[in-house]
Formats: sequence, structure tokens, C-alpha cells
Amino acid sequence: MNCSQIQEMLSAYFDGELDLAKQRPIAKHLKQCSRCATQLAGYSKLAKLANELPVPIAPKDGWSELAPLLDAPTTPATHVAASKPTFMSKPRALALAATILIVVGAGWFGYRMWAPEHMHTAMLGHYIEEFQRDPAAAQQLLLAQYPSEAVVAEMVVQRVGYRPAVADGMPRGYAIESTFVMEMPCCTCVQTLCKRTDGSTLVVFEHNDENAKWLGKRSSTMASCAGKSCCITKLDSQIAATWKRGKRHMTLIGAKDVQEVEQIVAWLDQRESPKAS
Amino acid sequence: MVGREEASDLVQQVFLQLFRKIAQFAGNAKFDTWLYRLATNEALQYLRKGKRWKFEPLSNEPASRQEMPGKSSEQSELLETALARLEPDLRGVFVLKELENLSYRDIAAAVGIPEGTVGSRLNRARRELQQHLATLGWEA
Repeated sequence: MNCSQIQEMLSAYFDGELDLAKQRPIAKHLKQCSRCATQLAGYSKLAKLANELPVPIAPKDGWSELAPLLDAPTTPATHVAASKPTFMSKPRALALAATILIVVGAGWFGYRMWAPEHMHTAMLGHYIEEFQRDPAAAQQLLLAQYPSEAVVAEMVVQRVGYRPAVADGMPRGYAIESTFVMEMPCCTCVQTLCKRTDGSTLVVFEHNDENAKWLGKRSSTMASCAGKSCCITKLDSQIAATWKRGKRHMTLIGAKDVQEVEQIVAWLDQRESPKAS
Repeated sequence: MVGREEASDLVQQVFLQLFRKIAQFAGNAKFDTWLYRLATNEALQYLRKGKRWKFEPLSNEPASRQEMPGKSSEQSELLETALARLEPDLRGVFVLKELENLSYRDIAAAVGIPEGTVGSRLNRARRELQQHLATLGWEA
């Protein structure tokens, strides 16, 4: 493939939108072509810069101001004088609008839909309890509750738009048994079931949602695992752990101890995708 | 340049549109994709036509800005300036990808373009952003 062809697909490659068959020749070209490799590195730096943009948080009382307007009669729009320019640029206005909308709208939607959300939290709590007793039965609970699809790692990219963290495997001593894409109320997550050499089960979830509701009200502590800040929750005889990996969160269910969490965090960290976190 | 108040007005307008059009959501796509499409359309309409809506302004500004660790405000402002120089269509796909982390499929649905077009627009957006940032003196 020549540089022109590579550069047409560079964003798709960078964003994990290409299947393995298309990735391989691009990866090979990038090892030999400094121009294209530099371009890819530029995308990575842009992503890092964008990730550092401040994110506005919706005001706590925003909903109480919006709610009365929902029932108010519609009035014609009127033009107003231009406001004084401020530091906020149009693209940030767009991002701010979308972010506040998503947060406030999600709050309203969550209020209207609290029942399923409550059920989701209860379901996950039930899953975790059952997992400690019988991982296979716990898995059946999830599969019965949420629309799920068994996939291979390469198909995950097409389903969720990213290459899962465990696509390149797990450390020695673990075998990946199956991978599912699950449509949960919180997000579409990727679940990977792993077996240790002793036959015990470890489950890895990768998701876009904050993890608080996953582990209910169980007490947790923060620990540094391979340089990542991890939320460690003690279960009966195992632990659960969650940490941020790039723009998503990883959750382990069924880890034996913090050392195991550290090993897995370090392993996945070494195999992070070309895109900067 | 627009003010924070206009951004709040836009949010309010989008949210009210959401409320009025919620019955049109057929459930055959993800809700957030539909919501992104509605917000994107309203925002682009706002930018292109320059209209402003008058509502009772929200008395609460965003409570705070969640600062990312190691953030450089100067570099963030450079990116914001560079983004302002992009065409709205390119800016939209970049924001939806890098800030909202949507898949190409969801970006295509939100913006109303073929999925295959998303990659080429992102290529252009990223190249042009790098050029603008270089002009602004950004040091990677």
C-alpha cells in the first residue's frame, strides 16, 4: 500500500475502526514509513490534548429551573442583542451545550426511568453475589437479563467502536473463554470471561460508564496498581477492582487479591492501543 | 465568539426540543445517538443562521469545570482557537469523536452522513487542526 492509501485510512486505523485484516498492512507500512508514522503520532497528540480540555459540570439546580419550562406555552423566538464576546469559543459552546444537555437530560431521563436503573443496580448486585458462589450461574443471570452477543475480539470494534483492552489476550496463566457485548442500561459493555489454570473464573468488563453502581454500596478503598488509581472493593472471598483506562473503565470481578489486579493492570497498560489515553 | 449565556440558552433550546420530540424516538437506535443528532442539528443551525433564542436565562452557570490532571490551560485555549477555525462539519465530527468518544457508526447517525465519510472528515479535521496549532505556536 502506498502512503496515499494509508493516509486515507489513518483515522479509521487510529480509532480502532478497522478489522485485523486491514490493520496489518497499515501497521507494517507505519513501521517503514516515518512520514505516515509521524502523522499518526500527531493524531495521538491531538487526542491527548483534546482529552485535557476541561469538562463543565451541570449545575445541581439546573433541573429545577428547566422543569417549569417543560409545561410552559411555547413563545415565539425573539432576537436579542449580541452578548459581549467572552473566552468561550463556538466549538466549546457546542461541546458545553452537548455536555450539559447530556448531563441534565440524563438526570431528567434517569428520574423518569428510575425504576429500570434501580433494577439494574440490584441486578448487578445479585450477579456479584451469585458469581462468588457459582460463576457459571451468575453468567446466565446476565445473559438472561441483558441483550448480549458472543463475539470474537475483532467483531467488538464493529459493535462498540473500539478495540477491547483484552483483544491481545491476558497474561500467562489465563485463558479467554468467551467475549460478549452486552447492552446494559448504563452502557454497552464488553465482557470477557477468563479461566485461570486452576479452573477458577475472572471476569473483565470494559465500559464507558462510571462504576459506582456496579458495586452498590459495598465499601471500597483506593489503591495504586501499576501506577493506576484503582477502586478496590472487598467481596466475600474475592475482590473487585475498577480503574480508568483511557476514556473507558475496566472492572475486574473475581480477582484474588490486589497483586493479581496489579498484574492485570500492568499487562493491559503495556498493550494500550496506539491512541493516547 | 459566543458567550457562556448563549451556550446555556442553546442547551435549554436543545433540551426543550428533546422534550417536545421525545415521542418521535422510535427506539430503533440508541437513545444517546438520537440525542446527539438532535443536539448537533440545533447547534449547527444556530451557528449557520446566527439566530438566538430568548428564554429566561439559567441562573446557575455550570457549577465548575472538571479539570483533568496535568491540564495546561494555555494548550487548551490553543486547541479551542484551532477548533474555531475549522469548518463546522469538520469540527462536529472531531468533537463527537474526541470529546464524546462516539463510534463512527454513531457519529454518522448523529450527523447524518455515511459511515465511510466519517473517517475522511476526521482525517481532514485532524490535519487542519495540526496546521492551525502549528501556526498558533503549539509545541507538541
